Amino acid sequence: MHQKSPSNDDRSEPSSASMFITPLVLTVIAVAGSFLVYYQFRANATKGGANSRDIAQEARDDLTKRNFKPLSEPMEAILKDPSYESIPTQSHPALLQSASPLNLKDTEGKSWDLEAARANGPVVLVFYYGYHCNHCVSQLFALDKDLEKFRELNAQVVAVSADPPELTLERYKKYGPFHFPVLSDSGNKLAEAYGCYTPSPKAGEDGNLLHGTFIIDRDGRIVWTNRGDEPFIENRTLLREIARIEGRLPASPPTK
Amino acid sequence: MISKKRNVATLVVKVLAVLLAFPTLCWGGVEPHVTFKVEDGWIALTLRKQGQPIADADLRIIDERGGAFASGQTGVSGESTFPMPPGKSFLVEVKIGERISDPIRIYQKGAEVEPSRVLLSFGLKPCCRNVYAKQSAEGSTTNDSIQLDDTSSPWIFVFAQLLLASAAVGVWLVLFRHDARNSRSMENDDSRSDERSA
Repeated sequence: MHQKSPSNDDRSEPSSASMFITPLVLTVIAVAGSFLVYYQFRANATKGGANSRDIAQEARDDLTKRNFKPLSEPMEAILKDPSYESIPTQSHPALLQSASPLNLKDTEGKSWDLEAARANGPVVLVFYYGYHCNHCVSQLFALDKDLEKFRELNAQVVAVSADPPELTLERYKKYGPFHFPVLSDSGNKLAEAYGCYTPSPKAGEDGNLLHGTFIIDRDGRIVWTNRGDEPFIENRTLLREIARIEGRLPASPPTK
Repeated sequence: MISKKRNVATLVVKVLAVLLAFPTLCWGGVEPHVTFKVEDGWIALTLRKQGQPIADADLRIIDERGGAFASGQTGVSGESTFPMPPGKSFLVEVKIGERISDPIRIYQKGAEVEPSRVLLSFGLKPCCRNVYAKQSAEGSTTNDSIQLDDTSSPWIFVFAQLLLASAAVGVWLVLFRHDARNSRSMENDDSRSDERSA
């Protein structure tokens, strides 16, 4: 007499519950997995090309391409050099007018106030797009290299972008800090006040940002400005303009 | 042979010229600049580009109230003169060919005017970063960072995963049924062989 194995019964009669539970479990796992994959992908993309690139090196390469050389000669020689013609200021609605008030947080969360700063000397104010744009940040590298020359004229350099302080700090950890304040202008409000940012008429779209360099004198007036699609890296011009407003320029530069 | 040497020399000169011009192009010195000088109550304006005078440029002087005060053209030496407009400031517009400069506001300061030198701008272009952002959105390669498209939705991933899950469930069901059918047929075979043996 052959007897039926009980295991055969179990295999041939699966419970109706497992018919529903198994696909349900698989679906839940698939949905959860897809969310995980998506957020991982998004996190990697947000860190951006920035994490996979060496922005500092790209900025230095950009300066080399622009033939930038740090100023090595003494200040007297920089100011006296008769062969050098300073780049004139551009026109600007606020040229020779009072600069818009500026009070923003630096990377350490401290407030930086223009009015307090200019009491100590002229201010070089630079608007740059942010520490993800290699040629924008190259101007900051150029200023950092010649910072001692600016300090010699009691001038202060300050850079502004819409980058949050945390992002700038992150870049500092990776590439080293700049030795002047870098301020956070959330929403480019200050850049807009200085005519360096035009919001887009379309909601949710990026506005247009210009590179902007301003020299503000001790009285709070904008005395020199340059804006455009390229960073301004002629520090010699900035130093001579500062020396001029401070009455330290030996003789007026020759004009052709 | 001589012409070949001449061609090489011309090429070298051209390359050198480009290399020398590059830094100038970079700092924007390529645009013309205007110099203002007060002489006997008149203003002498000189228009130059890289040291060379620009002749036949159209000039328009607008007084403080917004009214047209004077107009004219620069001469061969790039110079033009006009009397000092009334008021504390006035505007100067320069048209070179088809390009009209952004207006320059000049202020009277005693016997002088300031600014005395101005680099002309012709409708400032935004930072090329904006262009890069647009290019990357259009799928072009860019030297700059790539912006994440915030409009991308997790539901695309969910939908894709659901499709995969459905396929997996489908396969599982097919295998399950196949397994059940095999079991049933084995059971039938067993019962038939039982009957035969009985």
